[in-house]
Amino acid sequence: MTILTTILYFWQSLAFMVSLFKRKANSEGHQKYFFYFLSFVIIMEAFAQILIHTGQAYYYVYNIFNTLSFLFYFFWYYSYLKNKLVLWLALLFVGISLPDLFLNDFISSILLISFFSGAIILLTLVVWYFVSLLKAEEAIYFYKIQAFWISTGILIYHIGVLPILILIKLPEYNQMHLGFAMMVLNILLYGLIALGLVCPKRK
Amino acid sequence: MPQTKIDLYIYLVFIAIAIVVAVILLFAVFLIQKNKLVNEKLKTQLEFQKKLYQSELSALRGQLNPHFIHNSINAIQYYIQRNEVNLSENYLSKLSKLLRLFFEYSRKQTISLADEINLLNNYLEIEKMRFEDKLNYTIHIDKSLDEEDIFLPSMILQPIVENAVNHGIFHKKGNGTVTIRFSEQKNNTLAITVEDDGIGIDQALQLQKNNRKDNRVSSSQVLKERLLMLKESKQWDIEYNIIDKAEITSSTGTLVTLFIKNLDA
Repeated sequence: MTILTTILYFWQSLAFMVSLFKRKANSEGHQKYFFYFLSFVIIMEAFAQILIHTGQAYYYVYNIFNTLSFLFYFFWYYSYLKNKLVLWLALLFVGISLPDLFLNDFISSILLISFFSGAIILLTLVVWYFVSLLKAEEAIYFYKIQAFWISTGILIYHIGVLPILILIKLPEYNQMHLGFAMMVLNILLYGLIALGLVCPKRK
Repeated sequence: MPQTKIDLYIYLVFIAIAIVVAVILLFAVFLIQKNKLVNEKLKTQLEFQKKLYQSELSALRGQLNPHFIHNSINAIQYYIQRNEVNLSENYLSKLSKLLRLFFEYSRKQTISLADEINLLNNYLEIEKMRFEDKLNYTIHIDKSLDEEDIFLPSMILQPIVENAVNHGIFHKKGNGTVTIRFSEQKNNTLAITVEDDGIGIDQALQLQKNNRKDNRVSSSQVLKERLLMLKESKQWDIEYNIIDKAEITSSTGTLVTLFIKNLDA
């Protein structure tokens, strides 16, 4: 395990631990699903690391992880936005991902079309959520809203990860640089998810 | 055409800048909206507070009526008991006119100085009848004052004059005089003094302690509460002073001074 992977795993574990300790406090809100999601993240990451260290193909693990993560986020935003358009967007994502699954190498490469479409739809939902929050009176206490911090993490991560996935295609691709960038983005994502989960609920 | 290679980390720096800009933008938008909502909320609360004060003021104005009505009906009862039909008819007619004015002005937030003087004249005329000329009164108005153009909170002087009559002159042996003066001060401030040569507030308070039925406490309390409300409404700057004349002069009586300034004007 490289140092970058270790740091990444540490942050993912930290977010999971926070969701575990705050499970009772968050049991009635929309954030209750994050405990299961972060458990899934830990398991998938551990599984991927095992495959990497045993020299087996591992990209499919990330493909499954990405697809299910997007679907989780779509479901989570649907619970906030309560708009059927979110479900249609999720369906659109599945519609785009399925041909990508069959047309590209699912086992040994990242399904970029699926990832890009998922990320763009997710960023749309993040903006949609922020706009709806801005219109609500709750915006006065935005820094106390769990979903605000989680959405900020998702926003930062996907703004960063989209161009990075394009950079992978460049001939001067440097695994160390990109690995570092991905680590920073993951730290921000899981750090902000953890911050969101410990954020006190406004009374 | 030669191609220039851009180092990968330059791209990464751009990505980092994009993220920082996005986060700054996000927080800026939320902070601006937060301030906007806080201001709107404060404005709504202020409006609500204002309405609350106005409704409480109306309620307090309404509380003044029973004291006056009680005393007036007692006076009419007194004439009827003495079988003085003409006097009681005359009294009733004046009271009816006064009550009409009273209820009309009670509904208003402000009334002109001319209306206030009219009301006081009517009220004192009735009290003069009740006191059977034991009561004299004079109203002095500064020539510089435009009575139709100066407005003051409605029904604010009547309870003060009522106190002067019922608690100053009423307990005095012999004739008594109530003097009301209106004058203009600096900064558009109206100065009003209500002076009586009765027994004085200190003695009246002493009597009040001995007589629990006396309504001076509630009447004065209502007045104080109303003055406080007017001050808190931020529409009026009102200074209210009451002193026993015996403390500063050799004569007896009570001197009430009011300085009223309309802050909205």
